[in-house]
Amino acid sequence: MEKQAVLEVINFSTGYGPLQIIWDCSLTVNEKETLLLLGSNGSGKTTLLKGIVGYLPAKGGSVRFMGRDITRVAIHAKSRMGITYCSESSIYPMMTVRENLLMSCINNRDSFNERVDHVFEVFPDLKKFDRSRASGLSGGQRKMLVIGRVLMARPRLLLLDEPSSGLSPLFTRKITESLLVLKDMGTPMLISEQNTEFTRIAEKVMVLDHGRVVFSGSESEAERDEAIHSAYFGIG
Amino acid sequence: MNFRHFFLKDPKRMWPEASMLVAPLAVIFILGPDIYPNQSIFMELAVFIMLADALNIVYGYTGYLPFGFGVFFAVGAYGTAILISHASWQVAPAIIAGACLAALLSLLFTPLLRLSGAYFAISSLAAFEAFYLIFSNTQLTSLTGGPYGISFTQVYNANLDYTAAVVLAIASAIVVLVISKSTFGIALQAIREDRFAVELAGVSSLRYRTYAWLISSFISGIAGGLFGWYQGFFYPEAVFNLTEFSVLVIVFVLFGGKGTVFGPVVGTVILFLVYEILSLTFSNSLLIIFGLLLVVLVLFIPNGIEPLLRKAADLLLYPDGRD
Repeated sequence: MEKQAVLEVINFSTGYGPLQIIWDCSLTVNEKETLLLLGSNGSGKTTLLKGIVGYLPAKGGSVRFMGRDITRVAIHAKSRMGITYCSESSIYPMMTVRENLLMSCINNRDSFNERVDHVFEVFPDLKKFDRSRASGLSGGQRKMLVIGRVLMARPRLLLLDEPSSGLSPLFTRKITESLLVLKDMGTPMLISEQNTEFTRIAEKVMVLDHGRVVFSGSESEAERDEAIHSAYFGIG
Repeated sequence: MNFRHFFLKDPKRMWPEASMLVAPLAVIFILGPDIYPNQSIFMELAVFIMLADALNIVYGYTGYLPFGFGVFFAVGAYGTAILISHASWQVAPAIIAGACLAALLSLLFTPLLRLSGAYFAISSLAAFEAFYLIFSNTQLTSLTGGPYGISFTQVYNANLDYTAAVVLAIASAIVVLVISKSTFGIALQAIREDRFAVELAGVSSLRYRTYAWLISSFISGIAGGLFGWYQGFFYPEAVFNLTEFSVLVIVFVLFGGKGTVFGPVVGTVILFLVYEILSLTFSNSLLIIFGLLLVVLVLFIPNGIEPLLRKAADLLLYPDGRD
């Protein structure tokens, strides 16, 4: 049976002001599927995610969520539909860890305590800082809080921007493991990364270069592609 | 906003903090005029506490600093005065209607909420000046009294006004306490931290800022109505006073600690009394001394005195540290 498309990005273009960064980009994330967006620094990964979520205006093309055109829907309305976007700065430094978690489900606090317990089960380190300001957390702990906020939100679609940037291999593994928890819950994900560790959780890989899609295929196809392999999986 | 989950905790757990707010204020306002028999100073203190709490909601919690904030105070005062002098309204409904007028005006200003930082601060200042010119215009003398001021001495009752001002000053502090313990307050603080991230959490930052703006302007309008009533007669310059009802209030909030429950109240009580003492003893160099004092405070305690007081209270109550 064919999987239902959760996110469809069709010939999408966006950028900052008059500067166009993303050119005619198309992608599809199906239900229970993870798409890994690879690309070097400056390739346009973050810009594409910000364009999809509505932080940057569309200069062309469309974005569809569960079949509905959401290209010009307000950001907060997209979030209420179940789309969650997370970047490394997606925390409120001057608020406590618990308040940060609360903000992820502020519109629906049903089973808030159970969800918090679940986050602390996945990230026991965070529990120690429950009532402390997030500004006191280390880089790795902040990333845990970002993922913790995603677990609280229980999104219908997760857009995650470079979850491993600046993290040690140990923390990166911890983050991928926590994303596997989300994957087991059936959450469709679009993850932008430079780290190929994340291919563990992805069914599909897409590569961006200078704002254009230069590769799109399955994870195994990406590994077989010579150019992609040498650029992202190491020369061998 | 989901009102089913408005409070973060059981509201009953607010009682200790509420009593810590109410008790000292009640002592100041009940015993104060007996110790220093000048009721008008304590009346002004009550008005400033209301204004500080109102400003704290919009500036302390959402991070938006309206320099022309005093316009709501002035509109509240004029609304009350006009309804009493021209329509012979009773005082209480006139004050409420004046505050509603201030809130209505704030709704007209909501496009300003799309601005941020200095643009927002300056545009609110422009609105303040525009309304000053409207209310003091000679062509509106029959309605507003124009530059000659407006009088409603027929309802003058200093003692009743003082009592109302004290009760409402305490009530405004309780409003801030309730906001701080609600999901609404958490959302406002998150807007202050990162407006974009808040939108991503499914919260319309514009809508929440509008709510904060409305509550804040309503409280300011009430303060204006009470102030006007106490004066019995005022010129436009008395209520459209940028230094007193905007800048001074901003300073009180900053000194106490913006975005906190106790800070603006404590900051107002301390600095207002310092201001009054200085005005009695050094009236010629008052602004210079006060300005220097503020520079020192901002340099050395940028987050206000509330965190320091909280630390001191912790040390006093838990000398071995909290569990």
